[in-house]
This record gives sequence, structure tokens and C-alpha cells, in this order.
Amino acid sequence: MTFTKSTASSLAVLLLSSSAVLAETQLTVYTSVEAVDLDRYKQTFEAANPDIKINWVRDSTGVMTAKLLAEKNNPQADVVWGIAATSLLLLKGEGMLEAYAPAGVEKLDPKFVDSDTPPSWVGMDAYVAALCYNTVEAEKLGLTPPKSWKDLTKPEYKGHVVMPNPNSSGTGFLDVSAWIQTFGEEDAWKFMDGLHENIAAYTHSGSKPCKMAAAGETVIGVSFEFPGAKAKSSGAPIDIIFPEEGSGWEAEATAIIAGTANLEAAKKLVDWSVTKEANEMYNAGYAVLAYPGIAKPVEHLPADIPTRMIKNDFEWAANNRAKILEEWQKRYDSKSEPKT
Amino acid sequence: MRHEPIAAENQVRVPVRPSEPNRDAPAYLRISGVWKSFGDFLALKDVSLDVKEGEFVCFLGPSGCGKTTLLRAIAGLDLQTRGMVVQAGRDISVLPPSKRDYGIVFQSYALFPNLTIEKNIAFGLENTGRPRAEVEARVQELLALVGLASQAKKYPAQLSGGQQQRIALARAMAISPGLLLLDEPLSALDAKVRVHLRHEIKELQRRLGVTTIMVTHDQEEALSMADRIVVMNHGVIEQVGTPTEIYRHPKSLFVADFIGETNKIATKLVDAKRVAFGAGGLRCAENRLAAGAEVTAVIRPVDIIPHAAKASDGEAVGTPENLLEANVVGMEYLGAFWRVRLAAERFGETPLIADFSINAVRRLGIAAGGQMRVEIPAERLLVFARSA
Amino acid sequence: MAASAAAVLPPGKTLRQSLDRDDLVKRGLMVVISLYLLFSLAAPLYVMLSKSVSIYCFDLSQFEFQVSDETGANWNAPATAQALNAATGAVPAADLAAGSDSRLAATSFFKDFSFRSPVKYRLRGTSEQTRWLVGSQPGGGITWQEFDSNTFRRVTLRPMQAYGLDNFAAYFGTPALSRSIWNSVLMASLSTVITTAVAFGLAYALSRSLMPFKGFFRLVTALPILVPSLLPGIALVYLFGNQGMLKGLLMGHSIYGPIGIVVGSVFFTLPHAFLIISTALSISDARHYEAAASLRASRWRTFWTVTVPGARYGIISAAFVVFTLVITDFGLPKVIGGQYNMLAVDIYKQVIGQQNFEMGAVVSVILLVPAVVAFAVDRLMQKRQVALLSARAVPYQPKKNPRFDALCFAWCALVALFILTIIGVCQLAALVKLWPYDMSLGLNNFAFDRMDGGGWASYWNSIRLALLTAVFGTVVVFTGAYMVEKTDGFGAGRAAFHFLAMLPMAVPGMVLGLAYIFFFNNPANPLNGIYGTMAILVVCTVTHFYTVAHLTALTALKQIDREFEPVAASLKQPFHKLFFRVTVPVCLPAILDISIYLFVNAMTTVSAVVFLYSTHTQLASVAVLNMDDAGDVAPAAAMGMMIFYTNAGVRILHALFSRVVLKRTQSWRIR
Repeated sequence: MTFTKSTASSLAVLLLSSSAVLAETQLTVYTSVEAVDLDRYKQTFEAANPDIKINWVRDSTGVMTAKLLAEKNNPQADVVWGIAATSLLLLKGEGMLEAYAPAGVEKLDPKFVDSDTPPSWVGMDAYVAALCYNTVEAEKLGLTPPKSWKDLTKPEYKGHVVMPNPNSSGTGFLDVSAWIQTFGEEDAWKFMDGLHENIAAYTHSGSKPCKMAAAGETVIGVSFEFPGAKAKSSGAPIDIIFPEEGSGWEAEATAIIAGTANLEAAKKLVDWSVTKEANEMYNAGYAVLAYPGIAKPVEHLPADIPTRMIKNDFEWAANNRAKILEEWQKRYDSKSEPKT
Repeated sequence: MRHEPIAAENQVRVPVRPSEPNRDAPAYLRISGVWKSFGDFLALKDVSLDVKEGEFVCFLGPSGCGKTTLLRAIAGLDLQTRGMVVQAGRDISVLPPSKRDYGIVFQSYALFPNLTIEKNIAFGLENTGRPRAEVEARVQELLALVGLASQAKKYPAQLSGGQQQRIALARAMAISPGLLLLDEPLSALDAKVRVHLRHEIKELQRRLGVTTIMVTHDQEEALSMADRIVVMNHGVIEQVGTPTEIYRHPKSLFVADFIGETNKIATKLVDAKRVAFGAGGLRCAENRLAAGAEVTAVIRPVDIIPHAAKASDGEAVGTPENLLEANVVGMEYLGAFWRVRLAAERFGETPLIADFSINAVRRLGIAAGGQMRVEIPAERLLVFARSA
Repeated sequence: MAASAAAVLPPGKTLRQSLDRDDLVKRGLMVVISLYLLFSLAAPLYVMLSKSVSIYCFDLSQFEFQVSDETGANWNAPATAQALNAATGAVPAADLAAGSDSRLAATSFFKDFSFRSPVKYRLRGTSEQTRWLVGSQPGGGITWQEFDSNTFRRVTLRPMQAYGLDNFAAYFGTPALSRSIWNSVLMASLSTVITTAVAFGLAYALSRSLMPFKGFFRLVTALPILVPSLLPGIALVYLFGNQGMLKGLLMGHSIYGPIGIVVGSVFFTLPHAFLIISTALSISDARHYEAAASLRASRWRTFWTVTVPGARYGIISAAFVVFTLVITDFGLPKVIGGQYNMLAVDIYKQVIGQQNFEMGAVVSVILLVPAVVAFAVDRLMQKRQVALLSARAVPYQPKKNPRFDALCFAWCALVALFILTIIGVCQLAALVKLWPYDMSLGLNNFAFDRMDGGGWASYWNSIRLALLTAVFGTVVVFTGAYMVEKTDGFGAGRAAFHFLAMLPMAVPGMVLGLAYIFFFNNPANPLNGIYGTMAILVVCTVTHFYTVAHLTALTALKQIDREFEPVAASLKQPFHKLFFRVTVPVCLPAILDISIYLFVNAMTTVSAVVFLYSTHTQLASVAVLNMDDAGDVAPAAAMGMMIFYTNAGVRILHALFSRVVLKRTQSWRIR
């Protein structure tokens, strides 16, 4: 069997995959970080560690998580880099992560580090829930900007709000989980019932509501700050609003996959991921960093985002995820089309 | 015994062969006890046959008689269910086609459409270790043999059907096979070309001396080409014999009926030499059936001899008691001869059909509505037991 | 004659032909290609079926607890969670059904639990498979583990895998999911009625009138085949979305949902329906029309008594093809479906959104049902149509009729306008900088490397996939068809192979893709090595589009004289010589058609490969999906147009190639 397997795979490689030149140590790194940023990270890290080469495997958080879980018994990755902490907790629950305390982890903000010692994952930065508000379309419709989450249930916004479906989007889930943690279970569901009345569409992706607001397809997109800032830079008439009750957030984090053949190289990458230098690079897109005190403001975003973040219990979120999603689907997915 | 000469071009001609293959030679191809079943249907039932070296044998019979099945068994294309096929002393019963020694020509010619004529012929010669020049020479030789040397560079679609069939023949002969199999090779051609090619194929075969088996449903083709004819029906061999034997001495009603045309008279055998016929009897060919047996008496239209209505002096009559008075009911001019419908009280319901030469009709003044006498030669009135 | 009466086959062994090298090679090839279909189709589907009955539930008998007194030294008797639950009724039976990532708090079984209490807890499994979590740390096994109260509150139990029909029960018990069946059937039926009618109108106009520009209309009608089914969705957003140019036409209805799905489906299924119906109409017999005319039947009556019945098998066949295409399509409803759930999208949502592979498998099994039924009915119809085709008919010659011709022209122009608008809008969207706020033109939407979805690399990957699929697929399909059509004996094997070759048409792409995950992404599978490579994408795409290619090859091979093989064998030539020197050259036009078909479909396919691509094998069609998904709609349109340019270019190349090369190699066809 081993023979057939290796023959089959080597044949497949020979025939069909591009022949990568084998370097000293190849690290297969699964990531959901923005595609544009990957090259910079790779170059910087490889410059410091010339004996290690990074092979990025990039996709959205949902796809990456599905892929990692599907590969549970036969992991292909050495390291996961920049994937939502909630997803990493799912992997941790499957025993897929190698606990490791990288050098300098103590300098990070503790809410960006796994609560166990040694930690199974360490954070890099955070993305924070925000509203993208199209001022041009709002003016046409005579709407006033919302200040809080609860404002979104006002009848004037009926049909003008788009949010991600928590069942397919990590951002959607972080919103719902944050509302439950902030408002308490009962109030949160009551709020979502009201919000549902105003929702025009639930999207599959977390950044899409903001991009829809930027394109005028909707007035208010429940999304996060990063696509908002990006859209604003390219000239879209939007405001980025952080609701006053506080915003849910998600850490992008890094972890080593248990059983990796390249443990030493993997550790080096994780070590590097918590350095000040790396964190400064994350600052290019993200306003909130795991390394405290060094973040510079990002264009179009306020400087005080960290104060707008709620206290997020990742463990609670991961362990209650299935239950919450089931409830959400029961309440809103079945109601999403009027019964005839 | 006197016969009216019948000079009909499209009547069956039975050529006399001066050089028949040696009948005592050992069989080149021996088929013994061959059966073929398709599910419950038995397409061949215990067929045995010997073919001599250099012989031209025709499998003749109506469609579905098993002739093609037998040919395909010999070729190894549809293996027989039971039985043995031995070619040149070698048991080839279960050999795949490629291990047998034959060339084959199909009704569709099966020429490779994208190869030129010469490439088609050379197909079997390539990859056989022959030097290129030899292959080319052989191709030219074969092209010359079939008279199409000038067409070498053409594609099959640019040739006529007859030309294509000759190329197919050349291709089959290219590898000098011990056996040539022809599966209805002429049926797709029009009548004139067919008659012409018959002759050509037969000539070629005689010249090359290759043992040949041809399947056909066309009795004329079989009679004019074969050294021996194998008449088949319902998966069994009805009769094997030279064309003359088959035509003159059919062993069964089926053979008599299938080869040439016949008048069939349902009657009873009076004694070994007479059948009942109306108010009286007719002398018939000798047979071994018991007196009183239910029989079918058969006489071919061409065998009926015309006589003038009134007897004249010096008139030669072979069997006076078989001389019958008849009314000419109808006449049909068929180009080379007249088909005449005769009726008389004695004939009963069915009229008798006779073919008379144009010459005879003129000489005897036979005309529709008139009267005449006809003679049924006793040795031509064949008698077969009537199966229920 | 006497012998024939009661002949019976004598007893004995039925003869079997000894095999020569060719036979062995042929059989070997057949086995290889059968194995290919077995491993690329049958086995994955089987694994998927078994996955759909794989369930997760909390098996409370698996967990055993022990509680100490307040001193933490004295322990009471161990009790299983089952016993505890029987006593307290804390967890209702319905909550025991679970997903793979469900959790059940251990404290639920202890009513008076307090995390401040000094009471200690012990937990062990009754089997080695028992699993739980302490916080997020996995635990399990059959040895006692001790927790203080504060740690114990973080203990959650994990479900066990089992087999049963619970997934199906859950599916039908969740209206949010099972509604999709009705939605999918409704959308497919509506699209079928509209597409068939539109296509019939087109085909009728093109075959029965003398209107001008027929060639142009034929060309335009074929265009939708060249783009992914997502593209009409994107165009509809630009046309009828909230910022749409023609939003007013919808009178307040939203394009996101049924309207968008139906309109988009009509767009991408139209060429398929048109091809089938125009073939059916073109074989109608002119003599029937002459008869109708001599009976002074009105045009209307002639239409209903001659035209429609004559083309009925074509119409029915087209209807089933459209139905299958719509119900199994994933790209379009994903883009334009909004909250209107459809089966194919549900599979994606279950697998990618919720990592619920089991429920994905359940939806797949459900989606298989209508697809298989439609497929079976269609095959039945096709068989009858063949009989109709073989009848010799006099081709119909249309007569001049200015009013009718004008009407036909108007209809065709309308349909062409629809198709060109959709493609034109995408082209515009791809070039506009920031719709609708900055309508200036630029190429910034083609800077794919700055977007999610794989960048330009995905485009080159798609080209690579399309080329490999075209080459590898054509070789496999044609060889397979040759083995089915041109070998003798081995009947059962050939029949089984033919069945396998027909099967892919009934298997929706999403289902195939998911089945591939289950089958290939399993370390115990020796073929596991191809998972995540270009190879699995090629295999999947070839298999996905196997049937049509197989039928094309079969049709071409059936036209070749059956006697070639016997002749070659009698000439003692190996079959491969015949194959390469005669069969392949004669079938070259069909072979080119097959490779073009595979190429174009490999460029546009989304459904099967969406589960199978990896970072190094991202594809352009999937990039369209992902960019649209991420809200980068304009770049998605741009990538869609890249696919369109490529396919159009390849089609043009094919046409040129056919003219130049086929003219040379097929000169033997000219008399």
C-alpha cells in the first residue's frame, strides 16, 4: 500500500503539479490572511531564516477550517497562520494543535493568547465588528446614521441592512456571539429577532456586507473594520461606525499542527509571529495588534478601537458554537423566505 | 430424349468444369460436429464438412440459415459452441483470428477510408519484417492483378463499388493466405457489375489456386462460381454437391425449391415410378418411397417440353404417357424466353408454369387462349416425401 | 431437414477462444479504464452514501462520573451519565442528537453544582473511544481523571460517531433545510418551461423562416456555454440590483432570489435546449407539411398537429436536460439566490460554512434523486428519438413569408439582445472603476493579485486544468468508448463499463466533489496522494463531464465499419496499428469536439472542483465565485470575462484548426 501510495502521488506530482525546487525545510502554512500581505511576511521571515521556505496555502477562514477538520487524521499543514482563534479552538478540541509557548509570548496582550499553559495558539491581531454606512444612499433615503447595535432594529432601516450569515461566515458568528455575551442570551435573541425584520440579505462572507454598502447595494453593512477602510480608500462614500455597546472581535492567530515533521522550523515561524517586527507588519491592515503599545492608527479608522472591543470568551464561543448556530438557523434561515 | 435448347442469358447456366479439384485429396479444411447456439437458438446444428485444397466452395441458403455463422466460426470471429475446425492439419478450433490463416472480404469491403488504395493493400504487409521495396513490389503486383494499378494513390471513396471490392480482395490476398473467405462480397453491387465481378473473382481464384469459401444467398452466383455448393437451411447442411448435382439432383424439396424455380404438385405415389395426377398418373423419377406415400412432385418450368396442339409425324416423345393437353392461360414475355401459364382439368386448381424459348413459341404457334400439348420428362419429375 | 427437427446441443464444454496478445492488451485497457471509473466515480459515491448515514450523538453510557464529599476524600459510587440523566432528566433525548462539533456540559448532570464548592469530580470513559474536553483541551480514555469544581465546570462531553438515518430525520425535521427541495424543484421547473419555450421559438424561427442573420443568431445563442453559470448572476446584479440600471423594471421585487435564479438559469441553459430542439426540428419531414397544406390546414393548426408532435422527443429531452442543469447548478443561486435556499448551495453551506460533512452528504443524496430521475427519463426519450431519426425524411424548405419572417427576426433579436446584454454588462462592470460612484473606465478590476481568490495564478491554473482535462480526458474517453464499441466478447464487462460511463450525467457536480473529499482525503486510501493536487481536479473534471464525451465518441465509432477489426486481425496486424492509423484519424473531428467540450467545461466548472482545489490549484471559475462571495463583484466579472475570452479564443482556434488541418487530414472524405 505504501508503495502504491507513493507511486501514485509521485506520478501525480510528476505529471501534474508544478515542480517546486526542494529547499532545506519546506513549511506548509495554512492561512486566511489577505493575499496581498503574504509575500511581505514570507520575504521578511525567510530573510531571517534562510534555511526555511514557506509554502502558503490560502483560503477564506471557513474553507480553511473545513479543510483542516477534513484532514484531521492526515494533516497536511505544519503551521496555521492568521486563522480565527475560534477556528483554532475547534482544532484544539480535536487534539490537532501542538502546545508551544513562543519566545516572547509574555509580551503579548493576554487576551490574544490561549488560556492554557503552554498555549496552543498565539494571536497576531484582531478584526473588530463595525458597520459600513453608505452616506450617499442614506441621504437619498433620508436616513440617519445608527449609533448602536440596537439602533439597527429601528423601522427606518427596514430592508437596508445586510449582515453575514453566521452559519457560513466567521464574522457573522463573532457578531452573534458578541451580542449574546454583551446583551445576555435572552436579550440578544430578542435583538436579533428585531434585526431580522430589517435585514435585506444574509451574505456568505463577512466582508461582503461592507463591500455591498460601498457599492450602494445596501445602506448598512454589518461587517468589520478592515474592508471598510479599504473601500473608503478606493473612494467609496462610506462611514465606518463602531456601535456604542462595544464590538465583537476575533483574533487572528497562529498555531503549530500536532505531529508536524518540521517542528523546529514551525517553532521558529511562531516565534517570529509574536515579535514586535511582525506585529508592526500586521499594522498595515489591522488597527488592533496582539503586541501592546506599538499600533499606529490606520487610515480611515479611529485610534481607540481597542477600547471598543468587548471582553471576548473564545472558549465559551467555541464550545457553544454548534448550539448557537442551530438556534440561529432555526429562527432565521427557515423564516428567510415567506411560506406560500 | 429430346430437349428444347434454351438460350436464355439470365437462365441458370451450369458450366461444365474440365478441371475439378481432386476429390480424393485429403481435406484442407475439415469442419466436424460444429454447433453454435445464441442463447436458446441453435444457429448451427452438428455441421460437418470437408473442403479440399484449391476448391471454391459456396455456402448457399436463405437468410438466417447459418451460412454466415459458419463462415465466422471458420474465421474465429464468432466461436462455435461445440465442434472442431482443422485447417491444413492444424486444429484451429479455438484460435483467435490473428492466429489463423485466412484473408477475408466483407460485403461492405471494409476498406480503410483514410488510407490510399496502395496503403490499404500494404496494411497487412507492413511490420512483417519485409523490406520496403518488397512490400511495394507486392502491392504493385496485387494492383496489377486486380487491374487497378493506375488508382494506387486514390482514396477508397473515389472508386466505384466494384473497384473497391477488387481492392478489398487484393488486400486480403496480400499476405498469401491459405484460405480466402468471402462474406457476400457482391451483394452491395448492382447487377451488371456483379455478373462481371463473379467471373473475375472466379478467374483470380483459379489462377492463385487459393482455397475459397464464399457465403451467398444468390443461387446464380453460387451455381456460376462454385466448385461445390453447400446448401444450408435452419442451421443444417441440406446438401453438398457440384452445381450440376445440386441443380439436377436435389436431395430435398428445400434444395429443389431454393435452386431455380419449380412447379410443385401435391400428390400421392402410385408406385415406385408413378404419381397420381388428375385422372391418371405421371411417370416420375425413380425413388425409394413406399407406394401410397403423400408426396410433392416437382418439375422445373424449363424442363417442360412444348409440343404443338396436334401430334405430327416423327414427333419425338420421351414419355408418351406424360404428354398432357393444356390450355395456354397466360403468357409473359421475359426478354429471353416466354413464361407460359398452362391449365387443364387434370391440373386441378394450380396452373402449371413452363418456360419456353422464343424460338419454340414461334415455331409451335403458342399463343394465349390457344391449346397445346406439353411433355413432362419422367426423369425430371422429382418426388419428395411430404412432411406434415 | 430431418436432422433439424429435434436437434439439441450435445452435452460438453462450451468452447472458449484462446486469447492472443491483442485480446490481453484490450482486456487490460478495459480493466484499467473500468478501474478508473470505479475509483473516480463508483467508490467515492459509495463512500458518500455511507457518510450520509454516519451520525453523531451523545452516548451517555460512555461516560462515568464519581463525586466526592466536601472533604474531597470520600467518593460515592460511580454512575454513568445515562443513569444520572435518568434520575435528573437534565438532558432531553432530543438534545442527544448532535453534530460532529457539538458539546454537552458535564455539569448539566449535577443540579447542585457550584464551581466554588470543594466537591471534586471524577470522569472516565467506559471505552477507549470516549472523548471530552477540559476547556479546549481534549481528554478521554478509561482511566479516572479528577477535577476540582472550578475545572469541572469547563468539562464538556463530546459526541460519538454511529450509523443511522438520524441525519435524514434531522434534515426533514428542519424546515430551513427541507424547504430547499421544494425551492429547487420549483426553480428548475419554472426555468425548464421558460427555457424550453424560448429555445423552441429560436429553433423554430431559425429552421422555418427565411429571416436574415441566421448565422449571427446561432453564434450568439451558443455564447452562454462559454461562461460560468455565475456570470449571468453577476450581470443581473448590475442590471437589477439596488444600484441596477434597469431596477425599475422589477417594480419593487428583488433580483436576489427566485427571479434572478430563473432569469440566470434561462441564460445559461438556453444553448443546451436550443441545440437539442433545433436538431429535432431539422429532422421534421417536409412531406407532413405538404400534406397539411393540401388539407388547407391553418398555419396555427399545422404548428400544433405537425411541428410540435414531430419535435416532441427533442422538446422533452431538452426539458429534462434544462431541469437537471438548473437543479444541480451551484454557481448561479450562490451569486443571485439571496436567502432563497437551493439544494446545491445547501451542500456548500453545510460543508464550507458549518463543516457539517454528514449533512452535506445527506443533501447530496437528496439532490441525486431528481437528477437521476431526470436522467433516466431523458435516456428513455433519446432511445425513441433515434428511431425517429433513422427514418428517411425529406428536409423542409421554408417559403418566403415577410410577416412571419419579421416576427421570427424580432424574436431572435430579442433573445440575442438578452444574451448580449448579460455579457456586455459583465464586460462593462469589469472595466468600470467603482460602480456606481466612479464610472470611469480602467483595468484595476483585472488586478486579481490584489483580491482574494487566487489572483492571476488561478487563471493560469484553469488553463492548465483545461488543457490537461482536454488531453487526458479525450484519451481516456475515446479509448474507453473504443473498448465498449469495438471489442468482442467480455459482454458483461462492457455493459458494466457502459453503465459506469453513463452515470456521471446523473451525478451533480457538488455531489461528485463532496464524494471526492470523503474518498480521497482518507489516509487509508492509497490514492490519498492526489488529494490537493491538480491531478484530482483533472480526474474529477474528466469524470464529471464523462458521459457527453463518451456518447460523442461512441456515435463517431458506431459510424465506422464493424469489419475493420476482423480485417486487421486476419491481416495479422495488431489492433493498436488499426487504432492509430485508421480509427483515430477517421474519428479526428469527433476527437477534437470532445477535447473542446472538455476544455470549455473545465474552464467554466465550479460545482465539483469547489471542494477540491487547494491554494496551488486555485481556479479562475472558483475565483469568480470567491471574489463575488467576498463582495469583489467587479473583479469577479472581470475574471468571468477572462474565462469568456479564453473559451471564445479556443473556439475560434478550433474552427481555424478544423478548416486548415482537417482539410488536409480528411481529404479522403471528398469524393
